Amino acid sequence: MRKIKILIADDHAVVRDGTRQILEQEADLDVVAEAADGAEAIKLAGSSKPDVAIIDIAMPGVDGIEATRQIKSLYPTIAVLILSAYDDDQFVFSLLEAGAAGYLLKSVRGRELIDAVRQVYAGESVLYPSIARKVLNRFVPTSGKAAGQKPTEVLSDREIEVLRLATPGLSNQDIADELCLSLRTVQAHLGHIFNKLQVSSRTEAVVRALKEGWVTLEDIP
Amino acid sequence: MALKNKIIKTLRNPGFWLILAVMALITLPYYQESLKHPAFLTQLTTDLGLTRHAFERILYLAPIVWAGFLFGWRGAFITSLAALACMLPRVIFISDYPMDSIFETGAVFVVGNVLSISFASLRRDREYRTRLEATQQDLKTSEERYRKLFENAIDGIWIHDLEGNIVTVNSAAEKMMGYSREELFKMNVKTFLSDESLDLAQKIRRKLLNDEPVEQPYEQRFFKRDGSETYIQLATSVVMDKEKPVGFQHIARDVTEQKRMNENLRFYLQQATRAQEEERKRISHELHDDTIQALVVLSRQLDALASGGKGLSEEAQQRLEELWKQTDSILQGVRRLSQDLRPAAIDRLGLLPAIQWLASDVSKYSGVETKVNVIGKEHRLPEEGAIALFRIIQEALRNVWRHSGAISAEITIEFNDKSTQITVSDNGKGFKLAGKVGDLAKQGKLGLAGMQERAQLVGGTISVQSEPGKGTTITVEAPG
Repeated sequence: MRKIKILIADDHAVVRDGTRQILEQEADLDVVAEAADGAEAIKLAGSSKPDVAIIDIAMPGVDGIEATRQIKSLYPTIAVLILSAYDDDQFVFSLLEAGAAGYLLKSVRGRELIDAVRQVYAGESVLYPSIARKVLNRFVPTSGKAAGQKPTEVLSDREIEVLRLATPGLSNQDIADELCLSLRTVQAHLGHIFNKLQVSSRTEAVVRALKEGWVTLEDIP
Repeated sequence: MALKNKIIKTLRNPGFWLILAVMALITLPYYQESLKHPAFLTQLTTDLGLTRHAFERILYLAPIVWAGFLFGWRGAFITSLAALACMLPRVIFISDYPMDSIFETGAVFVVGNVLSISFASLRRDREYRTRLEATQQDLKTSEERYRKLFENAIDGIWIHDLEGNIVTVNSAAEKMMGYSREELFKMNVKTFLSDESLDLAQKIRRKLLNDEPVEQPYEQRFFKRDGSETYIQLATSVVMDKEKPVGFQHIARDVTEQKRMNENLRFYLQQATRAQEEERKRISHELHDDTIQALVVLSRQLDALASGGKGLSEEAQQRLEELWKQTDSILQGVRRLSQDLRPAAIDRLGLLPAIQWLASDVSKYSGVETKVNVIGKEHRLPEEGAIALFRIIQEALRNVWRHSGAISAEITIEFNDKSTQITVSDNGKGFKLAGKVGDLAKQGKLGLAGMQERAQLVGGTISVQSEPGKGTTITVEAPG
């Protein structure tokens, strides 16, 4: 069984330890690196090649927001999961924009943290419907439209459909049912979408789609 | 009526009756030769070479002149007519030498009136002179008083002609300007005014000469003899001579000290506000770094025990689950406290995300639907400016929540090149805005006065618009 390789970045040693202890209880999770600040996190992301990076926002020097940006630009296949003490939606938006796949509070229960790691690894989004609308409002361009590319230049029609359904937070199975496809096919489509968009999670794909204007208000319930 | 009153007054005057008595006294012997004059009078008559009756005629002069004294020329005239009436019968019917007698009678009449007119005019002259002296004395006293006032006034007073050459100064002015009187008399006011101050002075003079309204007192700045700058509060008026303007008079109060005190106060206020924000930041960070992280660790340990099994009874796990919930609740409380002291967004993300957080927070907790609009390209402000604007908007929203009864509010942030402008408007009940923003503290609207202070400390401005029933709009603009 391939273990999911994890990097933890947090300037509070006790919290870092605690996170590691929670994860290492699971057989399929393996913590391969620990960083105490953003600069170290970026370096270790390169050297230890984790699948998932769990990053805290409040770190000295290069903070979690900047670290996320840099890691995503240097190593786009790493899924970034934010674990923060800040309960402010504004941070959620900023980090999604920076490329994070998910955002959790540090006080989240062990069970949820473990599930979230697996979800972002699988490309699922840790983006709840209640947040989705706010994210949309945030990313909708204020002026006219079409500053970016047309979706069809990047994705196939089918892929666009899948993405549109993924945006409101439909699970893969729901998408499959909706489009009368098999679960496998949907997963494959998502994989292609991630490749084409150079992202590694559903969240990032949705954010990109929102920014480009491929998805609109009507698509969110 | 007046005549009647005059007559009554005359009748009341004992002098009148005396004159009447004297007239009778003279007339009686005049007609009754058997009534002899006293000896000394007879002697006098002979010495003067007059006849007895001529003398008696002359005697009539006495009541005539006296009546002149008491009742004026008119009284004398009437009395002279009466005397005439007394004298003529004898002259016409009885006298042996009618021509002489008529002559004497006429002479008495004329002389009597002339004398009384002269006396009357002499008296008038004297009265006039007395009044004149009194007036001159009053004038002198008044001038002296003015001069004392001018000289001893605490405020500096000086007068200069239309070109600015100094004509007169008081001692307070000497002290104010640092020059002696003798020096000042040779100077033009230009000498101690800077270019700007001179501009202002000329503008004020122009307006005054054209009878345009000038807001007084006004502030002016000049240089003392030792080169130091003085701020004065000035009131100016035009000096006229024979209806033409010949110069200007200034009354000035030195407000340099006050200005300095105000500046010091402002500086102190700035430092106090800065210190307050620093402390809030420090406490917020400590709560985040120490307290919250410790609570996270505690919460995790409870979570591990509550869900981990590890040989704990059902009951124990239940208990631990509750403890976890409580801890999570405490965590939320501390997080909120830390956020209230200093919103994390302001330091890590910027003013705009902080305001967006504030808007959603207000919407959630107060029920006032608050929307944020952005104009222009977002840029980060310096820390002090950002926190000042944030606190102002925070206070504004607090007012909306607590006092306006509004259902919705709108925040518009406009990012300009060199400044940022934020407008908060609500559809609440508004209030009556009297006077300038500076008067707000007096009206008990301390929140608004505090907002103005904060704005001024970072070099910004605030304006408030409100009308009862029409909602309120507060606009703040700050550099950066």
